[in-house]
Amino acid sequence: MKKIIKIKRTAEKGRQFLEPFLYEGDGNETVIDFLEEINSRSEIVNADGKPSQPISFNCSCKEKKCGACAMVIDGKPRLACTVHMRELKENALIEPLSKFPVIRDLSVDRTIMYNGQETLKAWPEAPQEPMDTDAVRCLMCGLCLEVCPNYIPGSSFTGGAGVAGAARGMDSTDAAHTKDVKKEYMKHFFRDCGQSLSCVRICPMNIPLDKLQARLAKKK
Amino acid sequence: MMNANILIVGSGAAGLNAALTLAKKGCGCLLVSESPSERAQSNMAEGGINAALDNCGEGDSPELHAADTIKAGRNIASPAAVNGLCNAAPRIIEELSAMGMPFDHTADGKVAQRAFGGQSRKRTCYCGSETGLILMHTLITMARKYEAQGLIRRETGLLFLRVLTDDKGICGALFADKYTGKICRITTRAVIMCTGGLNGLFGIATGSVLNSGTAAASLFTSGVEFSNLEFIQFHPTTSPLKGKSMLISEAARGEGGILYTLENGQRIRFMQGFEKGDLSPRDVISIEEQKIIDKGGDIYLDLTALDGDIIDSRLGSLRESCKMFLGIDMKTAPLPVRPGIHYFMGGVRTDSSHRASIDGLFAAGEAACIYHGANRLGGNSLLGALYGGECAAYAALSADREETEITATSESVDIYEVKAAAQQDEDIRRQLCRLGVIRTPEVIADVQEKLSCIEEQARGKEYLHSRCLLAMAIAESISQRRESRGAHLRTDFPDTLPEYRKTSTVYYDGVIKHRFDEVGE
Ligand SMILES: Cc1cc2nc3c(=O)[nH]c(=O)nc-3n(C[C@H](O)[C@H](O)[C@H](O)COP(=O)(O)OP(=O)(O)OC[C@H]3O[C@@H](n4cnc5c(N)ncnc54)[C@H](O)[C@@H]3O)c2cc1C
Ligand code: FES
Repeated sequence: MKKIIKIKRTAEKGRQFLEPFLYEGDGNETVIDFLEEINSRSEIVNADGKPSQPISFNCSCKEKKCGACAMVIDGKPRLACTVHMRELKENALIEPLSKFPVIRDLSVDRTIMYNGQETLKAWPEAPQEPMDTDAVRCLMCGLCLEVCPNYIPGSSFTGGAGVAGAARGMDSTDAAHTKDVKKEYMKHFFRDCGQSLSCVRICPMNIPLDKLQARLAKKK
Repeated sequence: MMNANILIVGSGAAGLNAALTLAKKGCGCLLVSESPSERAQSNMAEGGINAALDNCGEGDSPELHAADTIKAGRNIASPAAVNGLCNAAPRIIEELSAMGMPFDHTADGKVAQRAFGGQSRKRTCYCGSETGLILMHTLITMARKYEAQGLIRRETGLLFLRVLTDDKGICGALFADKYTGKICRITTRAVIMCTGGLNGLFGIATGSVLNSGTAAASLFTSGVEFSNLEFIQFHPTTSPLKGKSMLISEAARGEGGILYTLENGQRIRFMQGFEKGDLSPRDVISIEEQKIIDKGGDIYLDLTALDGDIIDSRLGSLRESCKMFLGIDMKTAPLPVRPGIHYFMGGVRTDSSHRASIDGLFAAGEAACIYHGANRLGGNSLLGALYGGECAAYAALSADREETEITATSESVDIYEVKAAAQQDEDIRRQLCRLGVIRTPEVIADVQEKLSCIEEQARGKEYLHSRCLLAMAIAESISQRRESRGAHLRTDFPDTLPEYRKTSTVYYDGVIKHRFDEVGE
């Protein structure tokens, strides 16, 4: 199988451009394998025969266990280590997530998500009830914010990851803390959520964010 | 009072727990890593954490846990250190529960415990097959509280380059800032290295590609002593993917999965003659598998006879991964498996307080060598990372203090060059991978010779050269241990010899030097 895949790259001063690369294989490699293969070429040449630079991207586990590799593939936000090359069309586009600042090429800065968890006070005070078993499976990959129609980049809206975070912080035996987290949750999630449920559909861990929301709504 | 004087490098389970330990004592720290904690290898752990809670009523005790650990480690882990680890384990599980970690529970409300290889009792506590991810959420959630108080300060995007020393020992460390490409200097008198295992040096391992071995290679080149590098754990049930291998957790066998090979179309359960059968220690199974593979045979792990509900409730995410990455549903078909590099028992040489060979340097987690001897028990490494992080934090507290400060220098570094060194060392990787489960004298000698040639060519290329030196140190450790023990099997010295009941230590001082030390008390 041979196809041309276009990758969104960054040049000087953050300018973005598309660069075509040739993929050759049986289609069973993942997008991460493809990116690694390009970087391991002794001389990196793009599909137009022009010399190129190593591609920057995030990846750690390659097994859908760490959330590092979220990017937009063929128009859909996905975890790149779960997408096989056979699924990609000729001229398919691989782009960085659009709602986070690009560091270089396909790697983005998701610091805002971690800061959001802090804003929500998503931590236990005093001995904690066992945390919600769905909420502890969030990969903090950012796909929920990428697809959310209500998330404006840079804003303090915490999206699906915020729902999971708030759920982790709210099951405290300390009633005052639970109240505090609820207050922040209302401000940084509930108030601006339009119930599109796009986060529920995209979550790679299938976390039932709608059910979590319903549970949090009952918390005082 | 903010008192940020300790630098922790690496924010997996070990680094996070070191930071939490300091924060609980009111001491500030700076927790630095290349990627956020959410991406660390610790998130990948599946099977669980060991602690002798005796929730299955089998008469388990920390003493038995320690005895199993020492036995699996073939008597070369320090008994004092192992006792400390096993005694602390029940408390650690209690503390994690109090932080809200949702362990699986038994019907009567106790933390559930499963069987794991090489252990005499059911003592592995777990959260389905996602123990690592959930443990990390627990630690991260807790760390956030101290972050908000200013006690833990986290910086990501910093790739460790090297330690700085003066006549008093450690005086700081240099990092490459991924965001700016600038070199960043952090001054401090205490550095705790929690940078994980040496996956990247071999290229194909079950763990995270973030653990590139860059940090260890640099420490080695700076003269830091490493121990037991010859002991590399091959996990008996892995499946190769591109550029890495996928682990099929021991939990699959703990829940009843069986291993077999085919001979003339007949299923042969090759582990049946062994005391613990399919749940024998990892080194024992891997060696048996390798013998079969060397004769052209294949190995399978069969879970098709298991109750479907058990698979769904306890191995659900593992089943999903097998479907996605191997295209096989474990409910209906056996999984082809083989031994794959999984854990590094060796690492930075530390004493039982986690002090390394340079004043002010400490190490914990998979980066350190301390609890696992010649072979690690499944479920003991998360425990070792948590307990080790805690011990290293206490040891660092007593070190000389100096305010930790980050200054960016105008010097810049091409971070892609540093990372490229980890990708371009294919020749080194190819040689190291030849030192597999069964080691022959011819291959050991040939690998040493080839690595020497690569080293000569790599001189002047700092990052590549230091990787080559560490690779040579591994080969030297393998060559010097003229016996077989645990994960180290030599065809020319097949027996375990009492005179080698020692820790091997290797360091660089212009040339690579090797010695054997007595096992700590
Ligand atoms: C698939 C799998 C399953 C496992 N299952 C289990 C299990 O069930 N039970 C068990 O006990 N153990 C298990 N293990 C082993 C266990 O996960 C690890 O040994 C343990 O998590 C190591 O933790 P750590 O904190 O030492 O390192 P890690 O979690 O690997 O963290 C290393 C940290 O160092 C950082 N880092 C690395 N290099 C640099 C650098 N140069 N500069 C800056 N930062 C750097 C990384 O970004 C990361 O933050 C498993 C391992 C794997 C791979
Ligand atoms: S690399 Fe970890 S989820 Fe893809």
